[in-house]
Amino acid sequence: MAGALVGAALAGVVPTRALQLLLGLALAYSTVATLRQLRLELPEAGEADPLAMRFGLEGSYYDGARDRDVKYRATRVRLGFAAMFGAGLLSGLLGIGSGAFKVLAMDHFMRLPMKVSTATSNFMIGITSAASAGVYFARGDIHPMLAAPVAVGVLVGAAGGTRLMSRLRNTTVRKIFLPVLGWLAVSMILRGLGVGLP
Amino acid sequence: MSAPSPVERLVARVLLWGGLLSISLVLAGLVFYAIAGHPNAREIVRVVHNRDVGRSVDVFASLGDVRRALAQRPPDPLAITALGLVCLLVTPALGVAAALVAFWRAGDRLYAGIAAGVLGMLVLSFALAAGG
Repeated sequence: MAGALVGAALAGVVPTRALQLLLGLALAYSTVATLRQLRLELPEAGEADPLAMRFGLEGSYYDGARDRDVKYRATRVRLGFAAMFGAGLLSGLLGIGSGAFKVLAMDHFMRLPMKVSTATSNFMIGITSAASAGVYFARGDIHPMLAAPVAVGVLVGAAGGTRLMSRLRNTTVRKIFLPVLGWLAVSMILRGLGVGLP
Repeated sequence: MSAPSPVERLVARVLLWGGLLSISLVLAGLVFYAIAGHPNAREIVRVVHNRDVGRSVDVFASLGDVRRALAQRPPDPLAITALGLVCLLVTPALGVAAALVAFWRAGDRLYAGIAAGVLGMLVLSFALAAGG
């Protein structure tokens, strides 16, 4: 949220194309990082992080695909926080969601299981989006007839996706996530370079 | 299988019911709109204000707009949909509020404080939005 606030304050000062290029490059890095971990089902336990211990950043979840509980603990919390701040900054600057970065921060830097990363990212997006959506509503930017079908579609899709995710392996979730991430990276870099997309 | 904690159960319940209420209202508004079409008499204050600022007359920009359109007989179907969208916006904030209560009850002052901070930022953003 702090990153988003700083980003929103800086928006308008930094040229949009430079921002899009920056976002595209960050997404490209995220794509490469995901590609390198494509076959990784569960991350190896890292060193005990004092901040993770202080805030109790650990837990367990029932993995339907493996039919057992999976325990996890976050590592490299400072790095994860820095990546989250960057995600919020870009989100605020460009007025876009930053779920892909949040997943990267948790999956790659904090070494959380992919399912934990995507579920946590989803929850965080709900909260941060509520804050900005309130502003859009008050500005009269939300037309009920346009927003309603989108909201219904997203809610139904999200409910189905969440149920499906519990039965999928982490590697499968990552494989689904990868092309989306790659497409976002390419489209943002092209926009940043001024190349129109069909 | 590990059982969810009381905090997780409460937050999940709030998000689930909030989502269900929101989608029900959005769908009800769409169905009424499909049956009844555009309202014959729209709420005049909103229409005039929207025209003055150059946006669509069907847009709602405050809870007062929604309330007045719902008070009409018959109610404006778009106002029912807009109420569903407002519920959708408020649901995550209610989830954080529920987490705050659950953490406090469980004696976890650290996470109750963090939840209070997040809720404070959300309330502030809603207040700034309402203030224009």
